Amino acid sequence: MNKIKSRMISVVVVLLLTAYCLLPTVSHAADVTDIMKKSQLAFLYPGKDMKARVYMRLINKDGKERIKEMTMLRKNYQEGGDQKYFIYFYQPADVRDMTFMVYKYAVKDDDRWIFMPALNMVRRIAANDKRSSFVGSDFTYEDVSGRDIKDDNHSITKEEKLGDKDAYIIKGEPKDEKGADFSYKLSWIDKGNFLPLKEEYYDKRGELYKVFTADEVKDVQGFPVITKRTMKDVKSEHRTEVQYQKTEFNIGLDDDVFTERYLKKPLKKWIE
Amino acid sequence: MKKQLSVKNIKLITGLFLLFTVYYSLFTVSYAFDLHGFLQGNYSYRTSNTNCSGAVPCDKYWLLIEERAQLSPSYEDPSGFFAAKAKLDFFHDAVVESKWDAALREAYFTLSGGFADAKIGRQIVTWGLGDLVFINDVFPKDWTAFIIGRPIEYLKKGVDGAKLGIYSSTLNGELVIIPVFEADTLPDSKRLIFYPFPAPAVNKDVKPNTDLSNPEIAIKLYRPIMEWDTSIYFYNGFYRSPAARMDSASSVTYYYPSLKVYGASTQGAALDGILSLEAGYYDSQDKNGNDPEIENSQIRYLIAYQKAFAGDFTAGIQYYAEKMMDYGNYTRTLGPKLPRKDEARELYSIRLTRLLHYQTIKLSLFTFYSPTDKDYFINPEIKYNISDNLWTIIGANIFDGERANTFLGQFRHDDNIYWNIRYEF
Repeated sequence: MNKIKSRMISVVVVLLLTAYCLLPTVSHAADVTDIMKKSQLAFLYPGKDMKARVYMRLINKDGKERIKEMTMLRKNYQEGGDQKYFIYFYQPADVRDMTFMVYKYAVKDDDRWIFMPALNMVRRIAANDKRSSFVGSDFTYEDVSGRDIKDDNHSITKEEKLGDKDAYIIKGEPKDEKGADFSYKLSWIDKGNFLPLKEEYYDKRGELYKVFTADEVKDVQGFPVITKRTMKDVKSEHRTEVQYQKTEFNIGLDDDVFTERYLKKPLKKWIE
Repeated sequence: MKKQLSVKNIKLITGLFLLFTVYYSLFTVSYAFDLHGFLQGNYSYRTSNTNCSGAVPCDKYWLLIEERAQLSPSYEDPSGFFAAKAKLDFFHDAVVESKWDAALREAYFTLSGGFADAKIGRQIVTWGLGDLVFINDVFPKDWTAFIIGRPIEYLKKGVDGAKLGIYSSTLNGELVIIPVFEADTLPDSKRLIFYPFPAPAVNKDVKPNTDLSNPEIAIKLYRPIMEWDTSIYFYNGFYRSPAARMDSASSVTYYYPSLKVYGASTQGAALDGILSLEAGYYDSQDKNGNDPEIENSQIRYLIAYQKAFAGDFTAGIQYYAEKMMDYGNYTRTLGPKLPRKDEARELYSIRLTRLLHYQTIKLSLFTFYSPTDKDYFINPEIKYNISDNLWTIIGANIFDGERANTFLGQFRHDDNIYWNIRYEF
């Protein structure tokens, strides 16, 4: 009888110990996912909708520049999920008046359309290549419209100050090795507003190859916005600097802005 | 006479309207006025060795030596209700020893508001999903431009007419009314060698009698169905390539038989890429196919698939087929000396596109191959954006086929390399 009792006690103790050991990890994982979700919302989902004039400078290592200038419209359909994007190009000259539309889905490949003004033609374009460059810049489509949080395993490596801001450093490793160009990335997430302050991308050999930095953060209608950001290719020393000018939130974008009609002829009030 | 007047009137009204717009916008609200355009050099050299003694094009090896400038003024009022735009080209082509000439590629104004809009004037309309094959794109094309290596936008010609659009969340519609018939620009026998060769000495070109009360009509209704962009089309007008009536051994009359087209298309995400389906029924006025001059009715359809790969690489494949109706009547009534078409023509195409060096270099390869006509077309091209305003293209058009009278094979003596450089502002 005593034997059974002591065995039961030891089982309970072992179970409790196991639970004790497991608990912090579980809550830690919940924390980190929570941080990533908050970060994604702060970075990609502020407001019901958004309009920004985006000015991109693509700069090579010799300092030679190319410019892309566009107006970007975005509307949220689901918190942290489906969104629609509309982009109108001002520069360079060979893409002027071109428009580009993305229906971003949380659970499947995006739908993308492009309008070519010279042919007055709207076409769907394949969207299964989220890792390809966005308009020739150092940013990929994934960098612009976000990577699914569930695609990576996240862990907090440490907490440190970046400049004068307290930040979590979060390591993200793709669950499917083939699903990303990086083997892991480190993200410095601002503890205050959850915006990414810096991200380092490491390739399959563990070498740093790409760095994102938030160079200027401003308050726009109560939302913290990264108004200047840079993505730098460490090896080629090519970089893309992006300025968000004239950012506005909650401007009341109708659903029909994101249709073929306005892809062909966007209203000036939306794109200026 | 009545027709000429109405056409003239339309042109006059459009012209005055544009002048007024330009004047009004320049001097009153200059902020809403834009002026863009380009300067371009476009050169094309025929590389085929042709042994066609005596024929006109043989002693000229340049297909195109052209300088071109385009001015494109546009205006939009602050409310967005009224807008106007024109594209006016000035050009000079040393091959045909032309003087400087001008062409109005587009000139239109738009009225938009609420659920409807209208676009009136000369405009380019592009419908359908085909890549260089056209089923429901019943609007005029310039095949010479395409074959001799002009930029692809010059394949499309404007129509003088009105487009009315109605939009809602359940259904969208476009109605295009074209009172002024515009034929395709067929391969130019002054520049190119092709079948039939040589052309008859005397020919007349009789355009259809369209006017404001008897226009061509094209309708497209579209909406997404389960996230597939789906359209149905209807066209009531004319073949844009002429039928030929031999008046005598040396004289021919070209005319444009009437045509109705009923079609549908859909495009959506499938198999990790984009799948496109399109079909159309070409309803000829030659109901039983007994008239050898006029094309028989046809069914045309295409299936296309496009997929993107890592490294800015995109691949597309396309299958296109057309099948002649009443083939028995066609073969029975066809003149003994004329080449006989097959009942079905099939065409495969592949398009590969790769962007390099921060998308400043674009490599592309387009090929057609027809197993029924046994002919092919290959178009490799490199585009380089030298700067934000300056780009250049070098490419080649290569045609070949077993027979001299097939769609692609007829151009087998017209292989060319082309160079294009454009400064845009």
